Amino acid sequence: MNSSPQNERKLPIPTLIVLLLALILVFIGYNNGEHRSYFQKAILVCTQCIGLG
Amino acid sequence: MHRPGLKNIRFWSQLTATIGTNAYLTGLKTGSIYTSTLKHICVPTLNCYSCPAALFSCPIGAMQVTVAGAGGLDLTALHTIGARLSAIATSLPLLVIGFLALVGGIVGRAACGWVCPFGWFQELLHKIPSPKFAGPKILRYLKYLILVVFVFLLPAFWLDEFDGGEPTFCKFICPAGTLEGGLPLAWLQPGLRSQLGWLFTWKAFCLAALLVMAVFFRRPFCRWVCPLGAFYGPFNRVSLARIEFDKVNCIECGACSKKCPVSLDVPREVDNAECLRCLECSNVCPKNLIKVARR
Repeated sequence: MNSSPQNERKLPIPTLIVLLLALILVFIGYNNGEHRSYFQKAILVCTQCIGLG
Repeated sequence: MHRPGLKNIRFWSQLTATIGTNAYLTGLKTGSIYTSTLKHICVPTLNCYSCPAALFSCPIGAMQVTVAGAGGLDLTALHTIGARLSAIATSLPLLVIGFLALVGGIVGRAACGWVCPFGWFQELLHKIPSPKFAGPKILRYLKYLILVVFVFLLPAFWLDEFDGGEPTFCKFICPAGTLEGGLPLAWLQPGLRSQLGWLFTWKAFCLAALLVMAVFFRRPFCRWVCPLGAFYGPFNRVSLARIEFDKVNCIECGACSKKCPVSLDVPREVDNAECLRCLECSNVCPKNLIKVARR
């Protein structure tokens, strides 16, 4: 099966680095339980956000 | 050639995203906020998690909360600077940064153009008949300063009376928080109204000023203030998707620049850090010279 030149084009290195780094950060952040820290904030009314201070 | 279908798709995308991320109807009835599992997840746009209807978390709020969780840095207590910096280094919002970088790395700043409720609201306001202005280009750099200072530095280094950092962008600037959180909660909770002071007045002023400006300028918040736009912008240079513009065959009719929701000079500035990738330019190009392509 022949592949078209469009299909053969490789992902540019900077794009690849950004995407890989992003996935690594998500993985580390999730393992650190960061989502739990901002969940704790998000389930209470944020007094700063609404202008109470 | 005008392709009206694309414009409709974007409209429905913005409408669906706005309703989909703010679908907690009980909150709108009772003045409470949603407190269950979905709030573990950030949306890729600015959307206040204190909005009574919000189902998800705001990434800019989450970033500040994580950074502020380090306890801040008391600049007068020099002996603790090392410990504070260490705490901050281990409290960087990696999950949110990674998530936003993933979105930016795939589609660049397209989330601003296709799914941001506050950006859409500004676009709707801009439809009000009035004189229209481009605004000074230099102001586009303000949002980068706001990202660094109000989202990272102040939450990390400015202690409140309880020795903790604060989400300073949310507290002093964010008009989306006032519109989606402050005003509805003040409306729905009469007891809250009596507690509102100078800060609410200041934030309401910021919101009012921005909404009035949105009538005369295209998406002023997105172009000049939004830290999320500042974060996404540079990803336009490396993202998997890009905008392809055939400059050779351009007839310089100006239709694209006239339509651009962030007042770009499209033939020269398309796909730079300010471009929302909304494809309005592609929609109106008579020669069909602007397309989405893979990098």
